[in-house]
Amino acid sequence: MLRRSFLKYSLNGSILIASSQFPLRALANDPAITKISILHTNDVHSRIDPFPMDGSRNEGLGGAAKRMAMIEQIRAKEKNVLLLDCGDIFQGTPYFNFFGGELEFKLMSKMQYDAATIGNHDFDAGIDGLDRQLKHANFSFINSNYDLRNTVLNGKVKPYKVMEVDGIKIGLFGLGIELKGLVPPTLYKETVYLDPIAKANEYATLLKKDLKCDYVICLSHLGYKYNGEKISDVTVAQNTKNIDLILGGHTHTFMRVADKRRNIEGQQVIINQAGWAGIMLGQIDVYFEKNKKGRCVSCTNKYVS
Amino acid sequence: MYRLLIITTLLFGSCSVQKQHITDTQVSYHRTKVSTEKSTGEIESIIAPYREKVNAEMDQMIGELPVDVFKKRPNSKMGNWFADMLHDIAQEFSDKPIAFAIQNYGGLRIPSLSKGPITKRNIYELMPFDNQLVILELTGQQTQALCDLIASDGGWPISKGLSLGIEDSKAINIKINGQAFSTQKTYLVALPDYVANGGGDADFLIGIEQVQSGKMIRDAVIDHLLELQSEGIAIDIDESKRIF
Repeated sequence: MLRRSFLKYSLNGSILIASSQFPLRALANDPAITKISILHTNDVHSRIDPFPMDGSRNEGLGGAAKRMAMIEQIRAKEKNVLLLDCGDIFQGTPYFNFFGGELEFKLMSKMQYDAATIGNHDFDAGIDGLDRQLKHANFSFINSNYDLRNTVLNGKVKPYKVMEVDGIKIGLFGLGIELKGLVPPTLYKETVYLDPIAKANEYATLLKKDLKCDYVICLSHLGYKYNGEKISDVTVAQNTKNIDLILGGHTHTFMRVADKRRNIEGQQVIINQAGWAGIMLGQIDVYFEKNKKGRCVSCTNKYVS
Repeated sequence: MYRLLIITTLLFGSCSVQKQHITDTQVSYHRTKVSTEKSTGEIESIIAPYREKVNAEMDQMIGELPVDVFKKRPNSKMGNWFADMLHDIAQEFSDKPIAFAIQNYGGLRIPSLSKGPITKRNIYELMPFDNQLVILELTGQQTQALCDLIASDGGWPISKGLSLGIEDSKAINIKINGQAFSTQKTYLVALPDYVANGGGDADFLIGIEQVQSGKMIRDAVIDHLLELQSEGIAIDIDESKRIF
């Protein structure tokens, strides 16, 4: 019944699979292959309930209960699931004005989020307001380019996190947007914004090289891309190395196709974003192959799309 | 529910150093839409007490509109009503007389409100942003620039105390409290901090010292309406034309 309602607008999905040297079905069944499903949201903006049925564009979309149901469905099917959020959890409905983010964090904890980064609106009740709600969150907060040493969040927000999933080492770090001009200084207080590119290189290299992570994910609230010089997920992808995947937010971008860019070493970085308000749940399935003594058996250097 | 499937094969420059190789990456998007599908009861039970509190509060009646109001340029009943409330609220916390109040047109987020009871929810929808009401002391030139901005944008909600004409996207015949506007005078103007901080193309206001009310406009408007209600004062909407 559910399957029938699926609308596949895939780019000739079956042809793509058929033309791949490594069909996904075969990959999924191969014991030497480990699949990890990375689910992600961004800019949920306190949308606890679905949009009201008022004839507006988003009516009926989103809602925590429905998202939970989808996540549970995926978890029931997949062995290895990560659940991540890219910030702006707060602000947008009276639930935030009334309860300061408590319910948002409780629901994310129930959904078993693994980690989230901080968006500009997560400072809307002040950095102290964010700090007060942390007790309702059982997942990690990750940011690598805010110096929080002189704030209440010192030590509570980590610059990176390493997770071992089914023998695969996943490294996570986070990038936040410049707060000046977006958030009143009285709210973010002594938070110091540091260059995202420099910090991305520092932490991605630490994770990939020193901590030997197999896959490095950047949780970003910089925004997908901009006209002009403003730092975005695209500029981070193109000016760094050791990042495999950038999950983004801030620009509320509904991506139909994940963007693929080359990093400074010419290697591919995938950028994805899942709209806003919990209307969309992104899913990245990554297939890992065990070491074949340095031979790149499956690394055929070709795009299928 | 929709699903989009994209399959890519990742490129590798050099694969020999890594223990694990990424062989395939698959990206899909799920759209969450209410359907007949059963949603998770556990989540619902967490939300329920919060929702009850929010709804009880949001459904609280805080006044009664005497007429239907629409948001329109350059003049509208909704605009007059809202800007006049900002004027009254600002006057309450200012010792000196407020010349006028303005509200940027885009800051009002619903197109109309019907005659009859209004609730807190209506005001939340009208003004969802956490904008604070601030007062600026503007020079004559800055006041002219602000009026020109309002004119060039086709007219914003302005309060009693201000009237102006629009000609070639400029403000003309500006009158403040019935008197001709003077570039030699200064004026106290109440407005959202969004505009005072340069929003809505008001760059020329950046850096001017702000007297802060310390209150979100939405909360201040709700309190103002509750006060009127408790004193038994009916909402009065001045329908006079202010922009010509």
